[in-house]
Amino acid sequence: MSVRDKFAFNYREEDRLVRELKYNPYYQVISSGAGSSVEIDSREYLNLASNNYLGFSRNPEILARMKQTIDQYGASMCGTPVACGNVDLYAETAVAFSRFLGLEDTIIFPSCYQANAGIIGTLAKPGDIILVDRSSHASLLDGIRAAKCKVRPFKHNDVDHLLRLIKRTDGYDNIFVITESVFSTEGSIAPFDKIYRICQEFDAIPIVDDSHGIGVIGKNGGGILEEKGIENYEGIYTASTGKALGLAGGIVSSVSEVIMYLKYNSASLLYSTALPPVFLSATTKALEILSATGAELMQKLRANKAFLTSQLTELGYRTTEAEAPICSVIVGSNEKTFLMSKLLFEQSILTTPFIFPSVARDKGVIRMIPRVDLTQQQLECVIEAFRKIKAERPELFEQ
Amino acid sequence: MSMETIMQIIADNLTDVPQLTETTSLRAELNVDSLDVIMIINALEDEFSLTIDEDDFVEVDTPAEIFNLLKSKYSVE
Repeated sequence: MSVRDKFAFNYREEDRLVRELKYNPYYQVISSGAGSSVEIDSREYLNLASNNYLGFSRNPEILARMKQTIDQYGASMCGTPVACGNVDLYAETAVAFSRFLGLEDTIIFPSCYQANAGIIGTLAKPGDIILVDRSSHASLLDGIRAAKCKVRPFKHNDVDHLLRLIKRTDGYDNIFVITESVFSTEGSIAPFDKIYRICQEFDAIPIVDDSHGIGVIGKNGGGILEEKGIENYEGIYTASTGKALGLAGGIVSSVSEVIMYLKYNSASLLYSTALPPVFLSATTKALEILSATGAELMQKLRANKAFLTSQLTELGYRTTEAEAPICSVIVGSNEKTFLMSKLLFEQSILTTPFIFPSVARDKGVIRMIPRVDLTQQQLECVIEAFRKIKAERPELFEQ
Repeated sequence: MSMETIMQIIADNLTDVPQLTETTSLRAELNVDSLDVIMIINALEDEFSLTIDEDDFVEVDTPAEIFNLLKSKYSVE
């Protein structure tokens, strides 16, 4: 059998739906940047799919800093951080991030996937135990699998279940408790203040992935630590800079001993080409802008989300009970969810459909990011599209 | 131990299980993965105050098979 034949099969549910509906929401070829509008096949679409919550990927100040950095440093250091990739901007960005979060030290990875998948297996040993929220991101779960220690998942955002499990951890060297801050499919926020208190009580090490939290929650966009009023956090914090910060990369912040240990032991850092200088300087600039304007941006983000949610509810749509500024419409079966995404696409609106098994069976959702750069007119266009679907496609709403 | 208890524990530890029978294949029909299996094992351990070897669950896939495993190997009454 040829290599082609070995892999020439379609086994994913998505493949079947793509063929049946003649519509593929995945790998859309976009011919523009991640603005509030994007161009696909020479047509303009409202972009509610991108995680560019604050519009930072098109922010003129950040772009100016990036151009300046490219002129000075070129495209890449062409080396790992431990070898010749440790450009001075690396330390500057780490300091800026640590200050922003109120943590001691920070390291920067090429992506948050590499950070999450890399650090857990580096920190956790066979004699340890990991308690992890069942709905955590694939990068965290991949990191946990690499750790080769005992794993006990707790029910999603269920602090009582976590407590029951952590009471049965006698005899392990270290206890790790791992969760995301914002679960982006549904927009729920982890009860991380309670989780953190449990960690302190049981001498456990918390690891929180704040990828959809930084620049998205907290009064000033400070993320989960600000949102939950956690100061002097003694744990491990990770985040992507490729979402609200509008860039690319991942960070890990913690006490200096943890960061120093990871600097010399995390394979995903040691053996990856360092994040290019242009993204380092841009991250520092993005943090400056977020520090200065975060409160205003958070208000706008929450207002956009509130508008979409209230209008959709008025039309008879069900949305997830999202605490974070994410608007997810519950559609139902995989077929209906894909069809809803297609109908929105036909009205020039780009969204993200999530279907089983990414979500529970028959709980498919259409996720929309109510980014700050959407105008009132654009928001109303979204509502009008949903109104039209409601009127013209009653079969989508039959139980 | 009853079959109903086993099925209830399984349902409690999975998200939105549609219909569960004694012969439902957890992996093929409900898409249960390794973390789900660990959650079910943990809940069974709590319910029956025992320690289950995770390797024993490699071969079991239905509520009836779990019931039989607990009865035969772990002497759960």
